[in-house]
Amino acid sequence: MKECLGEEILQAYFDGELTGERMEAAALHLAGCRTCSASLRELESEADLLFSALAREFEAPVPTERLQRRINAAIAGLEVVSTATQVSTSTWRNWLSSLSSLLTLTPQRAFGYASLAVVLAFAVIFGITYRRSNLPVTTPQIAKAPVNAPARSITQSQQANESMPANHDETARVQTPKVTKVIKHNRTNTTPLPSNPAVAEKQEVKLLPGERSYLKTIAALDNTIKSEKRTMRPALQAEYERNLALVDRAIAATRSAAKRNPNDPDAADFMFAAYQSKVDLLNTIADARAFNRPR
Amino acid sequence: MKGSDLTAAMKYVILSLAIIVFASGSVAALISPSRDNKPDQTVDRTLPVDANVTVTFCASAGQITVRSWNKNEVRARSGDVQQIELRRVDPPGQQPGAAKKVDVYINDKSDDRGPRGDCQASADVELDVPKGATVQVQTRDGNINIVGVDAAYAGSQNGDILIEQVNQRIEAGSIGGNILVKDSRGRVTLTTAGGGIEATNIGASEADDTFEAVSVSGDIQLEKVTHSRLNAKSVTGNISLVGALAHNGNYGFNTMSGDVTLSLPSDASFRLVARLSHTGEIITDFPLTVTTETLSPQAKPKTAAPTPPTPAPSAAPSAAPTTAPAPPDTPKPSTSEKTPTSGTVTIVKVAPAPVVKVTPPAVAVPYMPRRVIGICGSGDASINVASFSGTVHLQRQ
Repeated sequence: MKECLGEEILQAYFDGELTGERMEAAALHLAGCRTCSASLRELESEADLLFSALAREFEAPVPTERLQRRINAAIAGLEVVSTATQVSTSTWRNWLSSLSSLLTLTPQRAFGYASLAVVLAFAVIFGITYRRSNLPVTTPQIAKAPVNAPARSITQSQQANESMPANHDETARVQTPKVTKVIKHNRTNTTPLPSNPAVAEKQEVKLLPGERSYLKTIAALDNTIKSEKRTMRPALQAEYERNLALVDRAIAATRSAAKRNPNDPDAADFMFAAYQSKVDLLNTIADARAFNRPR
Repeated sequence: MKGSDLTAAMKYVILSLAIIVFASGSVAALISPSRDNKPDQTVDRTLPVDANVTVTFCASAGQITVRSWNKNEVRARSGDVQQIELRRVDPPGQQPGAAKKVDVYINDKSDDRGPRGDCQASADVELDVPKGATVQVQTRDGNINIVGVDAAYAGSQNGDILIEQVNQRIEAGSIGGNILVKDSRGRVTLTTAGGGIEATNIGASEADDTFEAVSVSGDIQLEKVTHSRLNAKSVTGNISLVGALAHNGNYGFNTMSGDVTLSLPSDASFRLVARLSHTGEIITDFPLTVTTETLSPQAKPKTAAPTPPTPAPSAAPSAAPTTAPAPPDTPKPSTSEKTPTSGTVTIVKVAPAPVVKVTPPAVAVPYMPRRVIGICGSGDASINVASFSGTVHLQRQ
């Protein structure tokens, strides 16, 4: 007679975990060994007892409702701690989730978005156009302003510009909003002139008699040219800009000389001649643009 | 159906389609008013007019040629147009008779709307007009030639303008094109921006006729212009005048940075008033008695002018009184030597250049004097020159 099977082998045999050969050997041994058979029956009875005792737990869904409640209770306890922060985050999440739903494109929604984009584009274009069309209005303000204040402000702006290379758009420089700001500033500024002689001398320079009328005329002609909606032909544009740059350079140079020699009529004459050249050129270009306009 | 039958049927279908397409194209080409099927056709219109008729014409592009002939008719011709219309324009109340004003309308081959006067057509057009006609022509990109009329008004933005043998009035304007006027008389006004101006052999037809040439950057070249009142003005262009001065003539030359060059006969008699600034200077071959006025920034000109003449300071060599011209290689005074003296009036006598010199000597009057008054001979003609930074040359012919 062979030795009895060990408890582990019996348990494995009972659980069906032994391989084929060992299962056969164990079955042969149990068939001839009353002791091992008795031990196996004990295992079976213990197993039956255990299954009968846990039958309700095994039949319930996993996890059991009680376990579910306990888990929920534990989670609820944690939620109480972080309620305050979770309220806001949940709000943002809801808002973001609502946004994400907006990003879900449907044909209707896509059409709506396209329409909105077109409307916004038109609004932007209209805004820019309106802003540009309003800019030249500053020049008549300069011309109509009281003699002392605007004269000084224009001169100051031109003094600042004279240090820069002259370009063809001097009129546009005069029309910049900065000039308007300076005018307003000077109108309200009642403080005496600074004691620094250099600064005082700079601020005492005024427009020469007659210069203002040239500036007004130039601004009016410039507005006339710019009001033409049709773009200038490239050849005309190039010729215009080239010659305008030359004239502006001449104005800057002669004006500087006239400022340095305020009592020299010849210096003023040079400046006025340069201004007149610009007026003539602008007149020519305005006529040319009128001629090119389709009738 | 067999394969060979199918192939044959396909061939017939393709051949039929090709024939239909070809026939349709041919019919369409025959029916439509093609612009290319009559490329050499010249349209010609003639209208009886008054001898002093005014003829106007404008176009977008194309060469405009105006000639005079010995007929009281206006004829317009072009090979580039569909139609030409000579539209008679009678002012209200005008008696019936020959037309005194004619507008030339055309429509080019790309326009089927009929002749119009909107200046948008593009075509080369020739006009024959009476010798006493006044012609007003304008184009955008084309050249303009006018010969032999009584008065010519011409405008072109980019094209060149040539005017010859006009008797009474010339007015020409361009932006980028050149203006050339020859062998004409009468009152002349020439303006251009970037183009140059050339006038040769021009005179007045009446005593008060004036000659005026204005440019921005183009050069102005005048030769044998005998008007007694002449003005030439440019911003950066150079101005030159070659020829004799009119007795008691009044000449004005104004530039910003361009040079003024006057090539005058040896016996020229004139009084020169030059206003200069900065680097502007006068270089002369003529014997001049020069009076210079130097104005300080604080000095008022009216008080400085009556100041009695005093010898020039030695610091300004070429301004010092001298009876001989400075050597040709004499360096011009540097800027540091040109410090103006307040209210100084200097008389400088400049002798004529020695003939033996190969290189014509020149006397450089520094820019220090703001106003230079020089007299040559008896001072018949008056020359006023204003140049901000250019140089004034007085040359012998």
